[in-house]
Amino acid sequence: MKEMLKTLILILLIVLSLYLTYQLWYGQMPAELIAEDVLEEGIADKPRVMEEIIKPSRILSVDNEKYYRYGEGQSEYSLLWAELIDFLKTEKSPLSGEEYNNEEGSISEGLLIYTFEPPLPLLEDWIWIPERINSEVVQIKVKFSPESLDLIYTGREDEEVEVHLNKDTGSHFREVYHSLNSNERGSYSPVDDEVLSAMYDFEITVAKPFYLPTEWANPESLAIQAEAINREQILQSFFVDYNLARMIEEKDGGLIYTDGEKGLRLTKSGFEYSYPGLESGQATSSYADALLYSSNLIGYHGGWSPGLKLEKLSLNENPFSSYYSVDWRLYYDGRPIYSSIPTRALFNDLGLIHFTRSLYIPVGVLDDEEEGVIPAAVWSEALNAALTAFENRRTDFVKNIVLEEICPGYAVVGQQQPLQGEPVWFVQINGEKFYLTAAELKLLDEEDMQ
Amino acid sequence: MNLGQAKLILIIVFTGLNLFLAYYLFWPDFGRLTRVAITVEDLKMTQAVLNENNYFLEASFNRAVQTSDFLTVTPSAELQQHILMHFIAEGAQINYNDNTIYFNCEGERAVVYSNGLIQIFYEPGLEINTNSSLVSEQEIRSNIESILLEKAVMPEGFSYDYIEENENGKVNLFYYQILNEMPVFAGQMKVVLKEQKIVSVDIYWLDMVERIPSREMEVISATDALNNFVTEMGPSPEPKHIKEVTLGYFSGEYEAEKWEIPPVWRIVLDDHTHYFINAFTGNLEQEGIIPDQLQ
Repeated sequence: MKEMLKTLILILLIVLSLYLTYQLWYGQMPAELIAEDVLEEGIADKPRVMEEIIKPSRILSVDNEKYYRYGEGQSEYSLLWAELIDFLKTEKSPLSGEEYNNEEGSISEGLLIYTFEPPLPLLEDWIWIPERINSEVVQIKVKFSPESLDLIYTGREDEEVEVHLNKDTGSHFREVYHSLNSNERGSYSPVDDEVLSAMYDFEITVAKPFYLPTEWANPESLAIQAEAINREQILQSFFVDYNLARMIEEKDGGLIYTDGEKGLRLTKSGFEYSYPGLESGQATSSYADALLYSSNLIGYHGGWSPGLKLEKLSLNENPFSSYYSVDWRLYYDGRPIYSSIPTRALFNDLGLIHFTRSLYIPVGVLDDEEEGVIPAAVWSEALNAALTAFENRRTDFVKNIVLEEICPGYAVVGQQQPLQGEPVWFVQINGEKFYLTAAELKLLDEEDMQ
Repeated sequence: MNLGQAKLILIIVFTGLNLFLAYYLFWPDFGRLTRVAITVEDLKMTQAVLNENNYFLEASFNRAVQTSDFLTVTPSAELQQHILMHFIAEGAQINYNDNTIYFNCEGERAVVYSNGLIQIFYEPGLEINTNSSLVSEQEIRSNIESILLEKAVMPEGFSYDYIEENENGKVNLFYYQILNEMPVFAGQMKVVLKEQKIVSVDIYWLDMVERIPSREMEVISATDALNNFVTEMGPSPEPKHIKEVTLGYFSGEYEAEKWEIPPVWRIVLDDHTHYFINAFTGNLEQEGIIPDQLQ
């Protein structure tokens, strides 16, 4: 009997040891290990250098008094910007008054005008900017002459500095400029106060000079897709330990994650993040630091999509707090893509307060649009249509009409994939925005847009 | 060596092996069983902090290490249907307006909101059967609950919270919900009495969609929750007594299909005001942190 008991105990112990070994080998991890704070390494873009963070809002080439415009998404734009940066990366030795002997009326071989909106920061160890420029740079003109290469810098405070460099300086830049084939591109017309006053018998001014295509012969519609969001990565990028974030599933299919302090809302076309607890903070960082921080934000929370460009960076102050607001926009072949929700971040010294990202990626021209496209209306017709719409919308408004923006672009329309990038004239007058279809000048409601 | 001795040696060896395996497998849990989250020193320090800030602890709580998880909930369709079937059976007239449904029948009116809130109004009110004005609070509650049960209004899994009388002479009774044997403070019922009559009932009740055991985690201790509470609220201008510190679940109400609610420590003061400290993050739970609709 005693031996039988021993045998039984031994068998039980052997079976138990087998079970425990199995559990140890294949069994689940204890809850504490699963739930440990895990700082997941988010998949983020590599930090960008300043010339990738901020780019010209436009580059104009002036040739025989004709203007050619280059914008984000065009190969010439990238080439000219890279050349300028490369050229300015080394310290320059301007010619002295004696060395520079420009005869009055000497012939210019050509002119490039780089406009920066937002402006270029004054940053050490970046590009060469003359000492007499003491505010951020809003424009750099590069004048190619047979006897010299001239640079004209304009600062935010309207200071202008002209420097003359030896004609052999920047020979590669000069070659690149001459290699541009302007025949393939349509020319642009300047639109300023003078042009508008000749057109209208009422007071109308421009907020800044515009350069608009003299004709837009082929306004093709684009096939557009909402940016695919990797939800898990986005979640990880906002919550240090996303195990602590709880999920709320909305009736329209949207998902909200929150840890009680901050919230992230994911939709089919993007996301919105909010951390109201940081709103009371101050923004004391410099403009250059704000640019770098904004780049990290977009890089970390979804990345820099091709064609995405910094559009605006402003410091907003109120009596109790201050914050930076930064906007990005996608461009296709030099033209902006307009959608109803901006891609925008608000931040201060405490961190990111608010972030919306909603990007629509162009995937090419719509198949059935490649032939038989009706030419677009010219800019003056678009402006007339916008002024009529403005008059209907703002019946109380009688004077001081300011044309704040007029630009050809694409508005994202449609309800189902693939969405459509409708060619439009975008016009902004006294804060009122108008999206007019390029050919028929039909006014689009913002509700029609994605 | 005979067979008996060999068996004995093997028993000793396998017992040792099993102890070794069990140690590696279950040690954290063993530790949890024997570990306390709150030492006497912790408690004394917390009390000192509370007292310095004019708060006085008069509640007891579990000192052991506790774990919890998220609870996925949705507004209770079952209760809503149950109540409305009662109204329909009574021949109620139904009207729709935006996201609200109205049920009207003689002496009773129900309003059902799209977020799941149900408000029921009784006119001129449901009489509570009390023979004397000196009835106890317990008897009033018992009467109210049996009347509301008869009216198909009393939900399952309720727990009485507190009673208060407001400036208009109305008496409010508050209940919260019990789900999975844990208080869910987001599920609430308020019964309003006026002159010994039930005049209205507000119910916001939740159904459990699922528990997420894979996200089970150790919660912060009650003393940590109290320390965070003082940090968030700052010193009290007048003495406040903490009457209750309870672990449960809470979140704001959402116009949503379903959502996860976190475990919280509910801290109740002597004037019935209560605060919720997220038992995972230690944050004071607030409403209005969700971004506005994108469109």
